[in-house]
Formats: sequence, C-alpha cells, structure tokens
Amino acid sequence: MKNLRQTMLTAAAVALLAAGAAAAGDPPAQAGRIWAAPGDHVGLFTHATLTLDVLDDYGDAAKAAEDWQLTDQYRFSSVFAWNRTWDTGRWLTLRGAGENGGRPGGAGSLGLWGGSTGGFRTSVTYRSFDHYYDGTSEMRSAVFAAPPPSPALAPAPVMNWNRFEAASSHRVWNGFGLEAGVAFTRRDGTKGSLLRSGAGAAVPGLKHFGTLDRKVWAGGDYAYGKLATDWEVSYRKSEGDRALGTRHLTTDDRTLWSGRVGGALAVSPTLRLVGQAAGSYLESNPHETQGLADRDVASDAVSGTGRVGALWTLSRGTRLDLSAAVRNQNVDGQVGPDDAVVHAVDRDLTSQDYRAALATTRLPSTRLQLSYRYRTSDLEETTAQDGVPGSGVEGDFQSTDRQRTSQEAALRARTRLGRNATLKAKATWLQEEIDSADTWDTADSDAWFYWMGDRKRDKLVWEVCLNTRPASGLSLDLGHQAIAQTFEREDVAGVETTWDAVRGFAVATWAATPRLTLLGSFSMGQEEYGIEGAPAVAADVSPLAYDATTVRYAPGAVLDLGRGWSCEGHYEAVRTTDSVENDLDRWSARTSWRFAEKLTATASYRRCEFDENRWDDYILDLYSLSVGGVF
Amino acid sequence: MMRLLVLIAGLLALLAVAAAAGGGFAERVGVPAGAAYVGSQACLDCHDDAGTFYQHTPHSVERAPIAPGSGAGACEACHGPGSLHVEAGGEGPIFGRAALSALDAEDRAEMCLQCHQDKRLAWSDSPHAGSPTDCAACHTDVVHGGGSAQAPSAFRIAGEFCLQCHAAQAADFRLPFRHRVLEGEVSCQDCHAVHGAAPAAEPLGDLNAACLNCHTEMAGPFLFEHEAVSAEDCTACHRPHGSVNDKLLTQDGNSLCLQCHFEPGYPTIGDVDHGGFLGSEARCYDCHHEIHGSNLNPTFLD
Repeated sequence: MKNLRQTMLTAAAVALLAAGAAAAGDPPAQAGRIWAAPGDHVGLFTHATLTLDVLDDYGDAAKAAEDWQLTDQYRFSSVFAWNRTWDTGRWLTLRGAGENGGRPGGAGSLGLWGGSTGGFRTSVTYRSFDHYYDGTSEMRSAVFAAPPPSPALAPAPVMNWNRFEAASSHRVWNGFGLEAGVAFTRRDGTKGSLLRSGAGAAVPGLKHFGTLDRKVWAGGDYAYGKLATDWEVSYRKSEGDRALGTRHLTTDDRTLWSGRVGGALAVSPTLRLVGQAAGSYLESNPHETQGLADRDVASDAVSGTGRVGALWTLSRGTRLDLSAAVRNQNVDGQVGPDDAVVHAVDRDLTSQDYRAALATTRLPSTRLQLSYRYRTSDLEETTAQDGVPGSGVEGDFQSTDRQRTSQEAALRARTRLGRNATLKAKATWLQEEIDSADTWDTADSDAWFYWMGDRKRDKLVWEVCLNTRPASGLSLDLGHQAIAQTFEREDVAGVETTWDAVRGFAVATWAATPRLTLLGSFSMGQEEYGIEGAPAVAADVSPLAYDATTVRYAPGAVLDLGRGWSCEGHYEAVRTTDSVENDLDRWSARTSWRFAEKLTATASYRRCEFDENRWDDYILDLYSLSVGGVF
Repeated sequence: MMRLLVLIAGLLALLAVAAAAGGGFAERVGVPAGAAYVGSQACLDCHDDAGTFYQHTPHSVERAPIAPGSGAGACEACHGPGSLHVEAGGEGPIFGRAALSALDAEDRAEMCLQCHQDKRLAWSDSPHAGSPTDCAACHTDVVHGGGSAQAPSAFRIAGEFCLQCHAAQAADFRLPFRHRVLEGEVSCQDCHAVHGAAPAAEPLGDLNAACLNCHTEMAGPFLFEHEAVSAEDCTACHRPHGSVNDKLLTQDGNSLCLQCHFEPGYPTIGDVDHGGFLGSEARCYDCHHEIHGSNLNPTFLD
C-alpha cells in the first residue's frame, strides 16, 4: 500500500513537471507554506476560508489526537480576517480561526483590533483550545517494546486552555502615551503525565487543573527632546486547584505585583545612555495535601533589578554597547503556622551581569560583532526544621553558600563573498564555575537534601551558513551547527558528562520554469549525551547514555497550471534513532482552482504516519475541501 | 557593588567625552549643510502621489506625529530636512529612496525609533537589533502604504512572519511534541518580545518568565528549589519549540537526570542506593514527582 502510494505520488509529480514545462510563460509560482491548512490565507488583507475535513485514522487514536488535536471524523474549520480603514484614519480589523471539532463549542481564536492612527489602539483577543494527551503517555525505551500495548488511561486526558486579553493604548499628546490591559488564562481538565503510580507498565499519572490566572497592567511612555522614558506596573493573581491523581492536591493562591521604569537619553548623535529598574513582590500561600501531610504554605519573594547601559557609535559603522545589571532576591517561606513550623527557608540571591559588545561594518561587505558577558551570583540559603532560620527555635538545618561565575564570549560575522553568496558564522564559548559549600546540623548527621558541590561547565557553540544564489531562480543555503559541552563535578572525582551535537543542513528553492518551483530541505543531526565511566546496566533499566540521530528531508513542488489552477505536492520525513526507531512521514497534495475573481476552491489530501513499532503507531488520512476568498 | 560603581563612573566619563549637540535621525546619518525643515506640505506640492499613497496610513501628513528629536513630521522625519531640495526645484540633496536603502539596518531602525519612542528602550537589547533585520522586515504595510495601520500582531500571522526567516524553528514546530504555533494556538510573541524586553524582576529570572507566563505554578517560590530551574532555566531539560521526546524533554529516560546527578557509585546517588528503585523499567521521576520544586520534600519525592 505504501509503495503504491509513493508510486502514484511520483507519477503525479512527473505529470506536474511535464505540464509545467508545457505551460511556461505565466508569472513564477511561489513556494508554498507546507504546514498550512488547505485554502488557509494568512495576511494583512480581508479574506475568509471555510474548510471541511474528513478524518480517517488507523491505529492509536489517542496518540493521533495528541499529535494532531483531531478527534472527529468530520470537522468544519474556518480562518478569516476583515480589515477596514476609514478616511478619518480610523481602522478596524477582525481576525479569527475556529473549528467545530472536539468538545461542544469548538475551538479557535478571535481577535478585534481597532484604532485611530496617531491616536489610540485597542485590541481584544480570545483563544480557546483543547489539548489531548496520549493515554499511555510516552515510554520511549527499548524495554517497552510492543506488543503488548501498555495499559492506557481511558478516556484519554484532555485539557482546555482559555485565554482572553484586552489592551488599549492612547497617545495623549505627541510624545506622551498611556496603555492598560487585562488578561485571563483559564485551564480546565486533565493532562497525561510522565509520572506513574508504579514502575513498569503502569498507566501514566493524571494531572488535574482548574486554575484561573488574572493580570492587570498599566503603563506609559514619555519622550521629549533627547529623553525617552517608559514605565509599567502590573498585578497578577493565580488561583485554583491542581492535583496529581489523588496523591497530591494543591490549592494555589499566588499574587504578583511588579513594576518597571526605564529611560534613555540621547546625549549626542553618537551616544545614548539607557537606564532601567524593576521590582516585584510575589506572595504564594498554597494549601497542599500529600499523603498524610496536610499543610498550609506561606512564602514570598522580593526581587529588584537595575541596569545601566551606553550605546556608543564610535565611528560610522562601528558601535560599542556596554551595560551592567544588578539583581537581588530575597525569599522567605514556611510550611505550617507560626507556632508549628514544619520547614522554613531563608534565601538571598544577589547577582551582577556585565556586557560589552563591539560591532562594526567598516570592513568591506562584512559585519563583525564581538561580545563578552561576565556574570556572577551569590546564593545564601538556610533551610530549617521546626522553626524559621535564625529564630533560635529551629531544629535540624542545612545551609548553602553558592557562588556562580560565568563568562561568555561570542563572535558573529557576516560577509558577502560576491553578488550571489553570503557567508555567516557564529561562535560562542561559555564557561561556568560553581563553588558550592553546604553545612548541616541534622539528627542523623546526614545531609538533608542533595548537594552537588563544586562544578564546572564548558560549552562551545559553532554555526556557519552559506547563502548562495548560484543561478537565476535558484537559491541554495548550506549550513553546519555544532555544540560541545562538558560538565564536571569537582567534588565527586571522576564525574564528567558530555553533550555533543552536530547538524548539517541544506535548503534549496528553484524556480525551474516560470510556472514551476521546486523546493526542498535536508538536515541531519547527531546528538550524544555521554557519561564518563558509566557502568553497564541491567536489561530492564533505562540506559544511562542517550544518542540520537535525526534525519529530515522535505521535498516539494508548486506548479501554476494557468487559468486559475495550481497544484502543490510535499513530502516530509523525519527519522529519529535514539532509544527506539521513530519514523514520521507526512504527505501533502493539494490543488486549487480560482473559479471566480476573488474565490478559490482547494482540495487536499494529507497523510501522517507515526511509526515506532509500538502500540501507539498510527496512520492518519485527512481529506479536505475548502472555499476561500481574498477580498 | 564596587565594580558597578566603577562602571557607572566610567559611563559618566564617556558621557563627558562624547557629549555634543543632540539631534534626531537626520543628524545621526548626516544633515546636508545648510538644510532646514520646511514642513511636509511643501513636499506634497510636487509629490502629490506620495500624499495619496500614504493617505490612509499612520504616516500621512495629517496624522504623522512629530518626531521628538528633530521636530520634523511625516515626510521629513524619514527623508530629512528638505529646504535645499525644495529650493533647487527637486534637485537638491535629500535622503531619497536610494540613500535610505543604503543605510544599514541600525540606522533604518533609528529612523523609526525617533517617533516610536516606546520601542526604543527595549530595541537596544533585542536580538533583532544590530542584525540585518530592520522594522520594515515585519511591518511592511505600515511603512510603505497598505490599507491598515496594523502590524503582524497575533495569532497565526505573527508566527508566519517570524518563520519566514527562522526556518530551523519552523522545522522544530513540526516535531511530534511541540508548542502549537503553526496551528495558531500559541504565538511566537507569547514567549518572545520581538522588539526586545526590558529587564523584569521576575521571580525566577527573565528567561523563565516566558514559560511561567502560562505555567504559573512553576514560579513557586518553593521551599525546596531544583537548581536546574532556579539557577539555570527551563531549557536545561526542555526544548521549548519542539522535541521528539514527550513533554519537550531534551532526552528520554534517566540519562536526562544523570547528566548532572551521575556518581561513580551509581546506582548510589546522594548516599542513597537506587538499585532497588531503578529496576523494573522505572524512571527517576516516577518517585521524584515534584521535580520543578517542592514545599514538602527536600528531594522532590512524593
């Protein structure tokens, strides 16, 4: 069946090529957006599309639903936008997308934007989407080879996200503006979790959410002459219930106040100074029930940060940016009431961040940027039992004194090698050192919680890309990316873990004829997480190393047949080899006919195959017919 | 703190050295000697087609704000003072299309920022600043006509604009586990401040703030923090755009945790023999449930 389909697609592609060559002469075809739904228009113009999808799936429906968010055999969907501008300068845009599948009421987004040029701007948006979760969750390990199928949750979990946001800004007078807004995010439902109630083939844990997050903010900006300022204050409240099955129940009550102010001064045409400051107060008072523990928690975090910077144009085409930032955060928290504290923490964190960047375009056809960043932080934390740290009534305690220092140097370069080629390169080196000392006084003399001691991380990231236009109508981009990282625990002899990743890619678009465009991309990546000295593990234990190879290729063709007809065909394959073999194949073929000046009908066939040789493999066929217009 | 004071002193010294006459965009790229602002109406005497073209845009002569730096509005805000050009009957110097195209992206951005002051502070810290990307790369219709005054502000359209250049992210959004940007459920702007963001005093740092905006429960503050979350950031374990592993994890299985927590005495970790726990296909987070942080257990156990 698979071979037959590939043969048919190949034959169709050849036919399209022949037709394209014969029909040359019209304007060139454009490369399509291969992820787009049929008839989907996305743009700053008035448009509308109505689509009927017919779903035919085989295999694990829950996994298909998780990947595609499709559950119904028949579904109507639409995407639309309406724009209008009046002579008075007022304008209005209505934009939305929706579908009737899934839960009653469907899912989608709707937004209204309006304003008056140079005067005010108002927006109201609403989004409501379902998230389906695979009932078996993921156990991507060879020891979970199928069959038999893993025990599955029934029904498959689904969680709904609702988001609403309204914002308005008003230019009170030239150089002075105000803005304000509100936002709500509501989560209802359940989601599959990686956590299990037991080892092995157990159903995933279920996380329940019934939360509401509300945010209100106001801000403004003021500019006069060489000075520009802006500010914003916000209030945020998060409430609701969360649960992991029946094992851990949490009632959230979180409040966040925050504010920031900034200013920029154009000292001269070549020097601009920037200063910013921000502060926040977060208070969290959840109630948690976990096993026999039934606790009230009270914690708060007070944070402040400030930054000053200078943007200095040293000469035409050469710029130096300097900045320094400081940050401080104090966290106090306790479990249990004041007269019966179970645990309490006192945590202070201070940090500094210094940055310098020099960029120049003085070299012929070349842009260079050198940057350096130095960061340091100091954490002092004490966690105590039976009392607040320093109160004199606390019992066991553990203290951490941790200094973290990192340096980051980066070079970015871009040069034109000629009329038709540009070379880009980026290299970043990062070194991080953590000096951590823990002291504790516990009844059994053991550390209370895990401590890692001194550590060091070195990381090199490299990226080079060549953009070429080797011939008229042909673009070819070639690239290479690499990451090499080592992580060493200096207090635990012999522990060094590594992360090495390398990827090469090529992207080509060729307007073969005025009617035919061929496009394609290929990438291959290899990733290895290694642990020096890791022992062999038993057959039923998850491996300690993780190696993955991912190959992705995505060829496609777009053909303008003339007289309002066009065809597209795309194929995408992702081959991942890590703990298991993972094949993901997608086909897309569609044809469009502009049957009236502003109306187009589109028919499409899409297929997605997910294959891991396990119980949750599936094949999903989606047939679509849509009518859309651009007005 | 001493280093900060030294740096501030250095900046003040720079200020003293570099202080000179201020000015707007035109002064930055070079005003023709003797040129003065004459008002945009003078431009329309000849360029009446441009007046029609911009009529319904924020940049029309009637609606364009006055650039605070120069006092120029509409045409001259971008094209510079026009007196010499007008006096010479259109032959005198002015920043024409060719001159503006020849500017680098930084100066073209400066052209916009002289009026769009509310974006100025953040832009200096934006990844787009200093790149070949200028404002018009995204705000095409606003700058050069079009009917509406809007930018690619939300929903799928925002992602579409971004993915034109960010092809690697477009591929990530096609992986089995992903944030659903292509489907329109999440927008790039939900996480990224494309104009740049001012530093915020978020409880767990600026980078995590993008995640905590929706996943609010991870903000804590917890009595027992996981250092990977609080001192590094969510990307220590998650790939936010897309992954072949569930929950957007960088790796599947226990090797994810062991990248930091492996010890030579494995399966003993932290003085606890995990041999009995790690058999039977178990994974670390089967027991360490509260891995993002806990108020009740120091080792994030149930």
